[in-house]
Amino acid sequence: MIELINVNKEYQDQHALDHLSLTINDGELFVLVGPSGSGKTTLLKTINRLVVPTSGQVKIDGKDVADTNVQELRREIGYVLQTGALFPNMTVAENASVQLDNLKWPVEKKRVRIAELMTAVGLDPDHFLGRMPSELSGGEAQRVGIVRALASKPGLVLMDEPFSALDPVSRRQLQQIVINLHQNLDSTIVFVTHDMHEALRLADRIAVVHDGRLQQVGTPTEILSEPANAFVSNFFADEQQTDQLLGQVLAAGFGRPVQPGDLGKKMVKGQSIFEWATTLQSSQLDQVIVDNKVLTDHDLIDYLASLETEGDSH
Amino acid sequence: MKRKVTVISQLISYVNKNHSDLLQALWQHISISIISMLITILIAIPLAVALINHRRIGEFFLQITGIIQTIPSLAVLGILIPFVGIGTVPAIIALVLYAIMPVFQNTYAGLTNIDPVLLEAAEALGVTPRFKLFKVELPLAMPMILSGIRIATVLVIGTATLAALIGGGGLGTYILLGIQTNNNTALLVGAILSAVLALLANWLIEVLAKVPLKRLGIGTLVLVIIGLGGTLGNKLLKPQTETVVIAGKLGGEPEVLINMYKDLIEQNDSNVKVTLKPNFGGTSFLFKGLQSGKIEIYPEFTGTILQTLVKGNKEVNRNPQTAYQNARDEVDTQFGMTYLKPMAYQNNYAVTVRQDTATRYHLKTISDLTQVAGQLSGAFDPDFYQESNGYPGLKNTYGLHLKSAKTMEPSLRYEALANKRVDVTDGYTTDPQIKEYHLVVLKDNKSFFPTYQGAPLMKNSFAKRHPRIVKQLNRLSGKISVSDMQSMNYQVTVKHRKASVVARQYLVAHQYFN
Repeated sequence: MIELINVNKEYQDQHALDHLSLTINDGELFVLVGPSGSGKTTLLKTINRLVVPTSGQVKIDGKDVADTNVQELRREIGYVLQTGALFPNMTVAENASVQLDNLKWPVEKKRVRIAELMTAVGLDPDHFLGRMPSELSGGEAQRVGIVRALASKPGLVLMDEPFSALDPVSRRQLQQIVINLHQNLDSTIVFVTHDMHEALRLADRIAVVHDGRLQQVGTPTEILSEPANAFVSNFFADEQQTDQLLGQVLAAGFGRPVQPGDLGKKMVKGQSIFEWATTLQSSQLDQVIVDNKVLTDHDLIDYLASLETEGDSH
Repeated sequence: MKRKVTVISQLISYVNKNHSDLLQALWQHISISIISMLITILIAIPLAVALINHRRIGEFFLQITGIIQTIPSLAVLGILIPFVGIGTVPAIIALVLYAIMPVFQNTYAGLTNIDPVLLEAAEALGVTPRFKLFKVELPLAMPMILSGIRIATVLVIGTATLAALIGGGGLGTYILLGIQTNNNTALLVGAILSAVLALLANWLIEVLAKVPLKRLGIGTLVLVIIGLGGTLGNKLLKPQTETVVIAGKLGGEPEVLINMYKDLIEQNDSNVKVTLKPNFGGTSFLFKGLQSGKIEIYPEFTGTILQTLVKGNKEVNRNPQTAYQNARDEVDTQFGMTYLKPMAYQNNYAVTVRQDTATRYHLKTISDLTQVAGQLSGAFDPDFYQESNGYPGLKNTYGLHLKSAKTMEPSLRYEALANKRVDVTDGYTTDPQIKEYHLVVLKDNKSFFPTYQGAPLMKNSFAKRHPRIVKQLNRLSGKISVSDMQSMNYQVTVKHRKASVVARQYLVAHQYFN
């Protein structure tokens, strides 16, 4: 469990974090979302002490990070940066095992672990481990960045806008990789993004940050259905109009609870209604299951119709 | 075209004749440069690393190293002499001072310009400071560091030619020799070799920069081990020998003399090895070298000792024997040095005329010359023209009043005489041009010129420990006539034959080895 208690950070000319408190549960995929300059990255960096708060406390499992040896603390936390930030003088294998080298893992154990993770992110170890970062595409580099962050089996992984520089196709693939990895590992992931699609697609819970203050914390459904204030609803308003997600369909009140014996392809809240339509088309069943709710083909038609009415009312 | 061909063929024959000395100078040049660069790297890189996190002090050091760079290298050498003396040490210190700036500046710039995202990544992954420095920062700054080392190496190889000025050896010796003796071939050989060396080093570093660091480290280690092993093996295999260092002033004559010393000493005792340092420098350099123990013997003139080295009475007695005794006693009491017995020839000032002038006016002595002086014109070295030991003294003592007398560069006055543009010049009795142009030296029948006789100079302690060497060197006392020396100077300076060969020929011809 990560507790941020009354965290305050002042720079000379600005108030980056304004007495902000937040709790992140073990095993959560927790997304910090907000426009640029909102303080979300600063908040993330207080967790591994890349940023030292002016006042307030950050505790991991009840232990104040200010009281721990900063290098030992960081070696136990995975970290993924915006651009991958692989060291250009090291091979992929060397980059991936930076933390393991510093933790003095034996060679063979390192090799096995890295190969396993490379496979998990969809990179063939035989093919990629000997390469230099300059020989990788942006998506490949960021996959290696993820392998590097997960190598030491950390209980906590911090990701700072890891996919913002990627093209939409790579971004989607990598988001899926993060979802899959999160399901298979029991790590807590704290993920920073300014992209609400990404937030809605990935998050167990979302924290909306603006002007150094916490605006709302909740599940994607809660945030979409009950925005706490005008800022939150505006921030997600764009979402209502264009790419609709299943989370929003549920938030609009559609779907019924799953009954024993219900069949249907499992989908996640972050997937769009277009993916829903495609799934229904290719499936022999006329319903899908999202988060303990059953959504039928009628729900799809009704939801689309409701958007039209909503459009009229605007 | 023809001229070009002669220059090149001259160069080739010069290199052929002197190749072992050239190789030695080249090796000396390389070792001075390598040692200077190693010291520079050991200072500049750790300093830059230490200052990455202290930017203000770092900027301050950048300024300081920049200022050092603006001091002329000659001035640095001059400043260092009182503190560390002459030879290789001050040369290396000066070179290190020069080389520090490019290496420090590039290392500092390379380390401070690393992408901050990469540094954040290293921080965030919790790497040790050691890992961060050696696996991240230094490798990323390496291209900049290497280019700094490259710039500094080229600079050092070029500036190392100045080491010759203070007895540090190297290729500069040939450049200096070339300037001193008006020998363009020697000058060119020295200049070309040092330029080629600089280009080669530049290229080599560029190539080595592409080799992975680990392999480079192993390679260096192997080379060092081979080098150490070789030196050690050499030391163990060779019998215990003593090395005696003998130096000489600039020019051909001292070089011939010290080669004779070497031959005499080594022929007599195979356990003594003589190292020669020809063209080592001017009088005061050599004398300081002798005092500090850098060199053990050098040939000096009686007149120079009395006029330049000893304190007190500067008069040089007109009687050569008295002059020698005075010089011997003064160096002994003032400096604790032994001055062995002099050779026969005197390297005095001389008044010379062409053969045809001498025949026409029946000239044998300077007194003879005064009779016809009104019809003859003269050209003199500027010093000779002014000194009381020169032309003004001749006027007083002999009443010599030439029709006209002007000053002329020393190297030009013989040519002017040979080309009949003047009739009388000054010179030194052993000058090779006297032989080259078949000139006549007029006898100083009133013993006006001070006497300059050469003999080996050494510390008393050295003489006491090496009676055999003293005995060998004394075999030259009273030997070598003016015409012998003149002809040997002619062989070396005009014909460009090797001094060691000329010296050996004299000793063999005069049965020194029987």
